[in-house]
Amino acid sequence: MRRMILARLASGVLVLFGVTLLVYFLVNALPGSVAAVMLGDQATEEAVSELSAQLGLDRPVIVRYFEWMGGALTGDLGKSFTSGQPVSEAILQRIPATAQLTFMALVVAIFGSVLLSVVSLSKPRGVIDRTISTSMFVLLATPNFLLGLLLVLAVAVSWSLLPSSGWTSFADDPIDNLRRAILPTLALAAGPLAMYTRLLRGDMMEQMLRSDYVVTARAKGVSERTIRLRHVLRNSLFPLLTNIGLTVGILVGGSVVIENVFGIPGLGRYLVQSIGSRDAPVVLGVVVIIATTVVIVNLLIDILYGVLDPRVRHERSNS
Amino acid sequence: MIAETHTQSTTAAPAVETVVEVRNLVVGTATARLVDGVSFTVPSGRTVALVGESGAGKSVSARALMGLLPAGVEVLGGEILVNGRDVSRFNPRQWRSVRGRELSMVFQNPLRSLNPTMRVGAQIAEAVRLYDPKLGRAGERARVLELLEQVRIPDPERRLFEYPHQLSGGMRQRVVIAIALASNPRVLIADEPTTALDVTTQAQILDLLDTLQAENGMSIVLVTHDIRVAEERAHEVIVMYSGRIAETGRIGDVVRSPMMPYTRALIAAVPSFDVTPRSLLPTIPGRPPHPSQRSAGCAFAPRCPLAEARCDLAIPDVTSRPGNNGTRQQWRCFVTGKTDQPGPTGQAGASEEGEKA
Repeated sequence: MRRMILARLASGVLVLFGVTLLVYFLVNALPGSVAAVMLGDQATEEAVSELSAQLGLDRPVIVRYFEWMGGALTGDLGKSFTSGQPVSEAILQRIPATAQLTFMALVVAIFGSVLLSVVSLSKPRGVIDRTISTSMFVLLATPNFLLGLLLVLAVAVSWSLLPSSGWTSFADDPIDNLRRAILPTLALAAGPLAMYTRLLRGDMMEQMLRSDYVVTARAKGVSERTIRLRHVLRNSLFPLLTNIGLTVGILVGGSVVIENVFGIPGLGRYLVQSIGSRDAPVVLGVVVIIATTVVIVNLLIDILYGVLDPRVRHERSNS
Repeated sequence: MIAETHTQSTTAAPAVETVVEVRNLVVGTATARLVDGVSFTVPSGRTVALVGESGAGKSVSARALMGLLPAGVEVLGGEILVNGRDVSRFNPRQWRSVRGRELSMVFQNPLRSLNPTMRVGAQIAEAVRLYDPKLGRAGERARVLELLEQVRIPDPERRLFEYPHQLSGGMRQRVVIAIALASNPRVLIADEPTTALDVTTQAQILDLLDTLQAENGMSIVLVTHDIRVAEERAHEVIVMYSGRIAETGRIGDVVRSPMMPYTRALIAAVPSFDVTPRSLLPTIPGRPPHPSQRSAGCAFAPRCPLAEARCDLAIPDVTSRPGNNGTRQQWRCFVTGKTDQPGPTGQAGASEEGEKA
């Protein structure tokens, strides 16, 4: 187990190295420069190159990357070019909103998919099952920003039930915070919910039809409902767990779009703003945080597998 | 092992109670009859072997007895009487009152037939609880341990908390049998219970089934492709071919003087130690017809060395002759079937040592 964790951490470091290198070069390859953005379109070329030199941008990209990396390794993510604020401080301010949204969306997607799958399979290929399947397909095909806009139109504009945009932190006003979080959470959860439901329902159905242990349970006289809940659902949660790990990146990526639709001051919106202003240290800082989260979540899921699945648990303790 | 103690001196049939009676059972899909008009009885306390090659319909018949047919396969006709009740048209709720109570089942692959993520003790306890919900935790645990001891699992206290993959194949099959025994069933259906096991373990599991039968007097329906297993373990045999019954009777009578050409070929195909080295083992040429492509006649006719023109045109009636211990040997064949056949030992109802001792 310890060896597995160390190996995964080592590969995680490699992933972070690769991701930051790629992003650094991409940001620098963008047309325009941070100096030109900061000085506006009236600036002279001399002024722009002077500011670029001040910011240290006249040196080769690779040199700057390793300077940045040197700082990052000691915990210093640098300062924003545009505001001068330390990047780590700026990120810390914006993490709570994004973390809250992705966490709530994940919870909705997981519990929603379990509920929908179990309800679907109470009568496979029945009306409810087909309706749920079709709805999930529609959700899967709907881009989350479109869903977000539709939700705003219906719930916020037409029925005025919930605010359409803006944010209050949970610490300031928990109730207003939750009211404002509902619509973006739903918009963000829709895609993963559809994906998990299709996966879970499919895997459960497959087990119900093909697994011999299900036949054994039937032969004991166990009811179909109990077979679904006690035997099949439990075993189908393992592939779901793997899938959650794979989709965490997608979920965080989705929050970039959703935060912009709903005007939420989170990491995603910050990332989009900094790309617009070519603010390389900020872009890199946010990417590092997102990539680290994905690596750590997947590591946690692997560890969780070892704790929950007896087959993996014993294989590991024997080796 | 059961030695048959009753030695009949008269021609009177022993009054053996029938637990399961199958009458003219038809099981199939929309396009094919997998089991086509099968009738047999399972006497109390006896072992009945269902023998045949793959696709003969033996497993489908066994599963029909439990109401556990795969999706898309249904009972299309006939009756299955369990203690006199016809269960063949039961709904899922009614089936649960039969399964794991009057009938239990043991399956072919003991690793796959246990839930891989549930402790062995919990899987047995589930069956115990369904049969006797008022037992309580301590009572349940005691009963689970008792069952594990009954199936001769060493160190049962420790096994309770293990998972199926931690047990050997033979141990797993013992656990499956313990689950089947939880309800003291009157009939245990064993569907190829030893096919997935190695040879020594096979014998141990079959010995265990014999011992359990001697202890609690249940009937066993033993599904097997191996007529030697049937010969060693069963009292009666039902030879199936292409969804139909080819021959039935007391195992000793059928093995010693098979009447249906298919049974004869099956017995001739059993390898023995006195074959000439490097000679080809006897086989039955050809394959059974697909259930949707059977002719109007005897399904074995295309492969039968004795086949005549009439064999392709109609299914022969049952021919019957008296066997030992008041049983009857029955088969369907135009060529070998004539009325008033003498019994295999020449005299109807003659007494004999039990083949199964």
